[in-house]
Amino acid sequence: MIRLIRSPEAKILIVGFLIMFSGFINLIFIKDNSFFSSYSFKQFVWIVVSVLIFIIITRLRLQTIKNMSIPFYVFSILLLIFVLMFGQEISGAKSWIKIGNFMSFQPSELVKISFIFVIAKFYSELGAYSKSYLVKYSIGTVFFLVPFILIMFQPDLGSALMLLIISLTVIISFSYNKKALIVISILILALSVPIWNYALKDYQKERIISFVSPENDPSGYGYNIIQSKVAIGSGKLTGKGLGNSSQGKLKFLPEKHTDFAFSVWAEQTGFLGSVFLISLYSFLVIYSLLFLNKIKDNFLQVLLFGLSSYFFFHLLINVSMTIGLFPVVGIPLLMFSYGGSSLICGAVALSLIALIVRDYKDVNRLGL
Amino acid sequence: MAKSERSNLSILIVSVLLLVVLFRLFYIQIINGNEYRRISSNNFLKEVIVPSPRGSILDRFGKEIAVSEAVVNLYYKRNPKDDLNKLKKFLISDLQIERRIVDKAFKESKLYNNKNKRFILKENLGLKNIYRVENKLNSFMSLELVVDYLRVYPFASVGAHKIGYLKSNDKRDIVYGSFLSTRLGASGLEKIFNKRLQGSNGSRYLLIDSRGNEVLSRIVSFDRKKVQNKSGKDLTLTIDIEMEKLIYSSFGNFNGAAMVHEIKTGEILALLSKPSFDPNKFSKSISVKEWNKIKKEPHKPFLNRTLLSTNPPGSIIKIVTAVAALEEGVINESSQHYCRGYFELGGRKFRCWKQGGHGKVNVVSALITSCDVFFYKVGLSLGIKKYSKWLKSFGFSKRVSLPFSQNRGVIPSADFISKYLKGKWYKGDMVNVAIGQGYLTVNTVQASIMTSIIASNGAYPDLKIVSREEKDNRTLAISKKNLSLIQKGLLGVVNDRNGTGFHARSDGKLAGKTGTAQVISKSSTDYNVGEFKNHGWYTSYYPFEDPKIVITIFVENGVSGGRSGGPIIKNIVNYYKKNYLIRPGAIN
Repeated sequence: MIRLIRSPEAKILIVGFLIMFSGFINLIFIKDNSFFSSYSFKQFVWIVVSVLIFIIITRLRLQTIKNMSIPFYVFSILLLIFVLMFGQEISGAKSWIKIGNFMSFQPSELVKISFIFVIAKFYSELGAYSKSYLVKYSIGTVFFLVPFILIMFQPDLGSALMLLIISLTVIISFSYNKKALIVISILILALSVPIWNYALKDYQKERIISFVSPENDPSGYGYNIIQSKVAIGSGKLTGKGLGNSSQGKLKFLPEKHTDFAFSVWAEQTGFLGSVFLISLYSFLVIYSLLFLNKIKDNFLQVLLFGLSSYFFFHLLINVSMTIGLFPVVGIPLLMFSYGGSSLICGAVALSLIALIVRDYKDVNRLGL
Repeated sequence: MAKSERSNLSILIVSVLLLVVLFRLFYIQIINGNEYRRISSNNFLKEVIVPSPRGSILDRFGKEIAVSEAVVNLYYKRNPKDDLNKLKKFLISDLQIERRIVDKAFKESKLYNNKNKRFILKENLGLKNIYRVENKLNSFMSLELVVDYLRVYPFASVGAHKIGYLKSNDKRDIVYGSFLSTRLGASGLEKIFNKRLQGSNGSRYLLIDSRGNEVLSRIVSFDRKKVQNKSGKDLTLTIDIEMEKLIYSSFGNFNGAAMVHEIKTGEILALLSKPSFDPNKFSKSISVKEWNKIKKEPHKPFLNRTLLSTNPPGSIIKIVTAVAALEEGVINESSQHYCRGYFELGGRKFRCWKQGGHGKVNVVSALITSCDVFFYKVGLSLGIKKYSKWLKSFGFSKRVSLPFSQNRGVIPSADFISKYLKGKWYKGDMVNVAIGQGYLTVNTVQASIMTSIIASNGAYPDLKIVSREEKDNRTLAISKKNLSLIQKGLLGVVNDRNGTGFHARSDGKLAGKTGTAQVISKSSTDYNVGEFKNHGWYTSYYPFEDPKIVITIFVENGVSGGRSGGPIIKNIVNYYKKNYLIRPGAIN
């Protein structure tokens, strides 16, 4: 039993459960309506679904997973097209597929993982140390651009940005070349002006401006940043205690269930609670990265690296946003924020990491 | 990138970025934690109004009819350092603030919930007291001076109906309560042009806790969010406020309405109703008691008699009767009728106002002497259809093109007869309306329009009270010959030996028509001489050769328009000559 708990996959799963549990507790103490119509109840249902996913995925073989890469990617792209045609529009973005009257799902969340899959698949066929970085860049760009453009059509700035960051990280890390890096940097700089002028909506520009100087817009979007900082700061060392989130309860905080869930947590549990939560994610990311050296198979390497960055950037950007280090974009804290899509996708990613750290030795020996 | 290099480098990057986040959290939660905790005790952000002055309303010569005056209000915000006894003494004996108000502010400010709340001690402190308070600001930390704007009407009740007054605004400032400068136009031009006059208040943002108390903070500040206040735009009227003042005082003890307008431009020089109210009273909040008192005034000071009260026109309508009869060919210049002092119709006697009768009269002398019998007969041969057509083309029963609420009055049109009289129209009714009694009511502005049409040889006046460009070029087709007959008659009314309007006679250039509207008592037992005296009309234009202005006076219970309205018109003519004709620079 003890050996089982000390096994790498168990550590990963336990950390994942702690994150989900903390998020659930946090949600319960943002008091809502009665339990059964509340966010907490819906989240509970999603948690049950996530546990089922854990069980299913950890029973799969890595070979099966690798074979599913391309169908998985195609499936998620089809979902993105579907949502553009039949999706439900919520606050101006057509990014939700309604499941019954009760639940809805965001395909843009799923595509972040399936992109990692498809890149891992192709890069492993090309060989991790292939000199043909141009081929790698082109393939990476094509696989990235298709979902990116579809997501921008919704439009969902947060998911698009997250996909961009994860893609860039994975592509650059596995097809590293100085010249290419410079070209990419110049391209991004050159594209940022037309993107600012034409692609971004006014409210999105406003957010970026208000990030730079929130005091210029205290009642508008800068208000959220200020309120979030007040919530977090007022938690001090030990927090106000669970259920005492005045900022959250009094509705000063917008999106307190999703994008600003961390602020409510930090208000209730203080600096200690924030460090605890961030440590859980840090463990997940760094612990996974430590396995990179031990894994021989290229597919698993890219996959593990991509999944770690998937967790890492959600953490980094979401928390930075709540403490005024990053503009407010709609990015949830994976598995912690309220929402089925991010919970399920987080659970998928987590199970995959667990699966890899459990079975990589067999693959090293036998290959995929 | 080498395999191990990738792993180590990424762990390094991840760690550095996480440390930045953790350090930031440490800074917010530990270093600034106390400050944020304080702000978070139910904070919210509130807008504080920075008052802006309302635009002025000016008369045609730039005289201020309504103006916003900066006033300084005194607020009290509790400060434990102050010696309350000393402060109380200063407020009550030096500043003469009611003890009741001071006690209340002191008492309520002691409640925990009102810790930082401001209490108004006095609106419009006055120059001397501002000076006194300023000297004491250092010794009494709890006193605060705040600038606000008070609406002032220097001419008070003169022409107040069209200028209007202000009412309170529901929008209250969280810190200072209501500002005088945020009051809204409640009636008249203040209401119609409220948007233009009001300007926009500025604002600044304060962090306020749930009890409305300001939370001062060194880490969250909104100073840069200030919105500059903008004063409202001025409104220049065509009114000559000094002329209105003269008319108002010329009315003496009488009540009524008056209108003077320029014929060529249609610009209204004077439009006023008496009795009136003092709009200054509504620039501040008014007590219920005072409001009830004003409401119960028997003479209805809020009734705008220029447009809202309609009365039978009496003999001034004989102008229209004469024009209609001449134009329709019922009479001509030499047609004569004999007046015996009465006219018999179906066994009923319709009397002329002059008992002995006027003898032989033609249209001109009938106008001059206001002979009723002549117009009885003319009216009968004219018939109601043609008559009401002419009444309508003179503008009666129609809205006048002024932005104020108005009562259009009635004429016995075919519609009216079928709707209200079940189609029954008797000769006796016709006889009555021909001399301006019966089913015929008009307002003062409509009467002015009628006279203006005659004076300008048929052109409708393009009435305006705020200068504007458009021009109304419509004219009423009346033959020159007939017009000059009427004009001759009107000149005679004032200047002929037998003219009924001789009370206004001065330099022989005034032309006009008097009238008397019979006031019918509903109950003969309730008979009251004062209240049921007849109303007097006098409408006129000046000067006869080259008409420039129309003057119409309506005197409530004035008995005779000539006697009660005549002297007022005489005053206006003298004023006009002095200020517009002799002093050429003053002509607009």
